[in-house]
Amino acid sequence: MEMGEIKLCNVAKTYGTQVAVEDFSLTIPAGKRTVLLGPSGGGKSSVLRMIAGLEEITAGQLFLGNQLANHIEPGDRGVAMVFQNYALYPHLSVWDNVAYALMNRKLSQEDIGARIQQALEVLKLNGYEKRMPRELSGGQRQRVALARALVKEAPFFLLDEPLSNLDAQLRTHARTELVKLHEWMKTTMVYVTHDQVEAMTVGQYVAVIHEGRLQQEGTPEEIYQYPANTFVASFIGNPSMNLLSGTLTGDRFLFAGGAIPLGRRVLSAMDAHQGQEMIVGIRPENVRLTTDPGISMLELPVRVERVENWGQQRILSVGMGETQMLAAVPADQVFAAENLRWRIDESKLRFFRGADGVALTLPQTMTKKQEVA
Amino acid sequence: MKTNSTEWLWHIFLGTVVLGLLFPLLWMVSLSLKTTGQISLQNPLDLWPAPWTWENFAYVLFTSDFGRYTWNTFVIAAAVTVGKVATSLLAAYGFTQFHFPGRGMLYYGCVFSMFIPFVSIMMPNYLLLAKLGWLNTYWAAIVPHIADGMGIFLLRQSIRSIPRAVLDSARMDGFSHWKILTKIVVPLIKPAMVALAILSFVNSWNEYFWPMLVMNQKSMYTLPVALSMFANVEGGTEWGAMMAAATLTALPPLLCYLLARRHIVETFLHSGVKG
Repeated sequence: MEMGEIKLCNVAKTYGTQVAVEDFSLTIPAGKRTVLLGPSGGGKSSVLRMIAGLEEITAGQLFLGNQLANHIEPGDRGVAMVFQNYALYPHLSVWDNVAYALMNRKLSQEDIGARIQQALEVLKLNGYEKRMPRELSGGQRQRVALARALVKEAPFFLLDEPLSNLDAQLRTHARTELVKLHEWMKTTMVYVTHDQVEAMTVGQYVAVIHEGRLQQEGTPEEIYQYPANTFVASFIGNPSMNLLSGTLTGDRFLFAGGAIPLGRRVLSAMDAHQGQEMIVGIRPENVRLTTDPGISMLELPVRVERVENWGQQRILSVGMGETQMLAAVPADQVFAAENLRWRIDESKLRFFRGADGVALTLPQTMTKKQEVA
Repeated sequence: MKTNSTEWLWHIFLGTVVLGLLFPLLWMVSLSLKTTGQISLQNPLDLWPAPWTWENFAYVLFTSDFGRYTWNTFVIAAAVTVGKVATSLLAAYGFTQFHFPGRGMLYYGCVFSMFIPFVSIMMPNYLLLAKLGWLNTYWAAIVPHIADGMGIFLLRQSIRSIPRAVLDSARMDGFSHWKILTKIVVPLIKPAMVALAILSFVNSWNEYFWPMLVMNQKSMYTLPVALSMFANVEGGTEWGAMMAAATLTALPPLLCYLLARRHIVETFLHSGVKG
């Protein structure tokens, strides 16, 4: 099977009456690292397993490099997969574990030997050929699992939470190694994780999945900067985006913390939503706090209620009227408790419909321009 | 000190139990080494034969059809064992790997068949075999025993303890179900299979009632059935010969247990625990 993109068209997966994935359409670009990101039980693993052929597709179509793949056997799909708990064959040595991946191919013995040798070398497993899986550390097992996938030279490379069984330190290292490995392999990689940091660092393209549906797809930047709905807004980012509910009334956004006057451009784009419930989102690191007496209309008085030290930054819980939000500030910045104000940068605000949390997209050109300014 | 004294009490208690269990065996061996005269004159509880004699064994081995009975028993036990392990393995794999309507019902049906008393199916089985013309053939002793709920239950539990991803991984490697079964599943659940094999071999070897029902030609007797012949030779029982035959009969199962004791204990410890 030649290299290419993976295309899911209106794919659904149901188990009995339980819907795991619904009306799912996504094009996974060829040769890139695409991350399927979402909370546990959201359906991302089901999507991956359908691509692998381990789960039958209830409805819709799956294309692997232009070929309809719904009914192709897992072993014939040109897909290699790394499982969360590595899934090594416990009764086989490292060498045999890797060799089993090629057992059903029509390859000569020398060819098989050479490929295994190369894979073990790339993953720094020389000297471990005769070890049994139980004699290896977590990191080594993970590398054997990678070697097993690598040796297949498959055009599609799937990873299901491959790092979540490693301890934190090893995980950061393994992440970098994985990216390097992919840059060398250049296959179409699909990576499932619930960890947004992993998604942001590994992914060149990210698809956020929740409740069996695709919530948003895009580059990590796009998803971080322009969340398509309040779920994505609150799921991505740590601490997550502040979401303030209120209503658009006249030229201002009224909420429990006060009123935010809005500029003409924003207002004209949102005119249709006058008088409706709305949610305004702002990332904690975009909350600018100041004691300078401002002249701008775009300021709200706030008070610091709680401070959390995160090391490189402090997370302030600030109160406005009857509501709170979080602000992330550099650790060395000190604030007087008095006369503190939130200086609002309109370009950092994100607007969502109150009823369903869907982003009210301002014309991209406008928002982008403002971002640059 | 306290743990020590409770430990001692346990040892004494368990030792007594073991003696109680061993006594019949010792008695059997002892009687098999005594002459008929000694057996009738000596205190039966006097375990030490004086003098020793091998004549009972010689009689059993050379004058009776002991070889023929051993062969019958072995053929039946071996076939039952192979059949039971094979059917249990295939059924267990099916019950764990395939989703089909009625899977749960069917599985529990199989397991509950363990609780059907033998006497209630004895007659229908007998009549069926009679109709098939299988009485006095090996088939009669083998076929009704080659599948049972216990084996399916045991192997299903073992297969379920294999992580799902390992089997998924094999599918990704392009293995057919047959290859997954033989190359991955069988090596991983070998201890359970050995335990099942030994238990069914021993059970079949010791089985008395069913072979007695379906085999009424002497040449088709199994050892346990043949043993009973010694008991009623015209009212008098040849205890020495009977005990010699019993000793010889008991040897293979004993050896089996000794060889596989670890597997058996492990399997029963783990069959309830997923992990």
